[in-house]
Amino acid sequence: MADARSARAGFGAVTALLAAIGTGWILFLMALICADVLSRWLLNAPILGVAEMVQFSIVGIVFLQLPQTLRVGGLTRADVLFARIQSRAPRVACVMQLAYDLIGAALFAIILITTWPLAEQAFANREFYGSTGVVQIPTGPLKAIIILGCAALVVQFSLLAWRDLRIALGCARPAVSAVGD
Amino acid sequence: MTDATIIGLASIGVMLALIYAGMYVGVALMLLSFVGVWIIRGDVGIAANLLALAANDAISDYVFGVVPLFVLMGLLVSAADIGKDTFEVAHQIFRRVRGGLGIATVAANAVFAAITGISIASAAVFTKVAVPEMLRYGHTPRFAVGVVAGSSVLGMLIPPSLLLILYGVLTEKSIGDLFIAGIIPGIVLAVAYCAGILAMGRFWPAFVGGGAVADEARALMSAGEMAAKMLPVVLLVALVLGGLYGGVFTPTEAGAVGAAGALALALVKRRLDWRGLWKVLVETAHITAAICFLIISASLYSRMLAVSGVTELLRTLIVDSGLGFGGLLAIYVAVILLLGTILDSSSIMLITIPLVLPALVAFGTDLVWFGIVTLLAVEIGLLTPPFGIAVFVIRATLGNDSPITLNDIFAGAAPFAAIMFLMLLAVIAFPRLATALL
Repeated sequence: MADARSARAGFGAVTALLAAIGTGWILFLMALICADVLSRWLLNAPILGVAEMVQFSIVGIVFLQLPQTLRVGGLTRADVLFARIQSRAPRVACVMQLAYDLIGAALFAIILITTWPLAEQAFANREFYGSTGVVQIPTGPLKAIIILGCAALVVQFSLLAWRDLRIALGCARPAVSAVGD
Repeated sequence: MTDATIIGLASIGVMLALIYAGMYVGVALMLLSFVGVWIIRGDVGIAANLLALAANDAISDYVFGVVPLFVLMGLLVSAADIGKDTFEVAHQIFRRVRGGLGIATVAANAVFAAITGISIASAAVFTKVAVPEMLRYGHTPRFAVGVVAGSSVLGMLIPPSLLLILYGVLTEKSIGDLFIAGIIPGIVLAVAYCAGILAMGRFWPAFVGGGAVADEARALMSAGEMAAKMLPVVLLVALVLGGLYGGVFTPTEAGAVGAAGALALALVKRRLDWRGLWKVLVETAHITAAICFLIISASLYSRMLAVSGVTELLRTLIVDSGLGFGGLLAIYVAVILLLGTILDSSSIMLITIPLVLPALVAFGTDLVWFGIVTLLAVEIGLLTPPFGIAVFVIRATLGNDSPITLNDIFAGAAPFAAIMFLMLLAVIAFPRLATALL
């Protein structure tokens, strides 16, 4: 079924884009902290709000990056026993993998649904990191990034599950690599 | 035992089974915590809220900025061939010693460890740099890869260290203190490796090999050249560790400044183009996402343990059992070594530490010292079959053309794992090794 494959490949462009933003963000974070250190040291004038920016950034970076990390098989797992099952009983392994991917999709769907009202609240009440009058970094956009990341994770887990299902049913041949396309 | 604690204990059991069966570690922790809280509280809403809370808040802290920054720094110094330079200098210094190449590898790794916080970076770099050289001098393949596997562990022990950062996050201890505590055990372990190499060269020459007279065509470096090669490393170490201990930087700032320094070095030395830099950044992002996902799920898991009362139960059980602290420590180390045969280092720490932490506090344990004990026990797992990540990295780095098998690497690393175990016992017997500099 070429549609599913192209859907996976097409979605790969989405996860890659999100990941690229997260990746560039790391470099920006490094530059920001260095600027703060230099300015504090040389000009005796720290940049306000850097600590809050770090707090904000790390969550953003992780949720932008997670879908791509899942896609390329970078999520931590113990695959010693699993690899053995895979070589002896590939179909069984495939059904197990299907269950893992479905559970992953369900958990991130729950996070998405539960975070949604938090995001609405954050935008409505103009919630922020930092202290009033000094630095205020709004949390609303961050919640939006978390929701975006969770949505991408749900889609990516589902695409992987669809692939597992087709292999388990014998409609498709197992991919040689674990990469999601 | 209440129903809640039974559910809590059962979920730990199921969780371990699922992890062993290959489920993503973070997904397994989240699933069992979610289901556990749901059953205990009888309310799916509470469980869902805990899940969302962990996702939103668990890593939303200034401290977690250290994760991507130290990973970035470690990968940048690897890309900048700084490991190679260090090895060349150490090689020349130890060239007249029997087994000197092995010692040079350990020494270069110890120095490299002071600017990188991830063992896998050390393992990959020194497989490329040191293994071919050792083979050229007639050392056995097992010895060559064993030295690299064993000494790559120094990357985590000598600060900066990603695992110590993780431990500090889990136990709410100062990351700076933990870094300082790793210095002496790291140096002592490096010296013990060197002594072990000398001893093996003398009493077990069949394992070590070597002695092949290599062509002396290789021109010796002048003192000036050696200094030029070492200068960047010294500068980076001074910048990061000096700034950290001098109280000039927070750990997060030290990570950022170190990463920027490593980036500048790599660009000046023309060892990194834009494509290479992007590759390094992408890998940094993958490692960061994987680690932070584990931290998120671990925070959920420890909340589930608290809600179920399992931590409280374990604390009373351990304290009242008459086992004493020694007994607890023995069981803890045994469990970690056992888990280390299958799981990766960070997963082991995330699963075990929330379980023992309350009991440790009840015993009045020095958690900084305990961190070093944990680290050593966990890192032995890097070298033990069937799952030793350092060994896998070395195998992958060797490439498909190399005849060296996974078994060779595990066998070669075994003497070094044994030395590590002795080091672990030494730190347990003499806590001052970890705490002397504090």
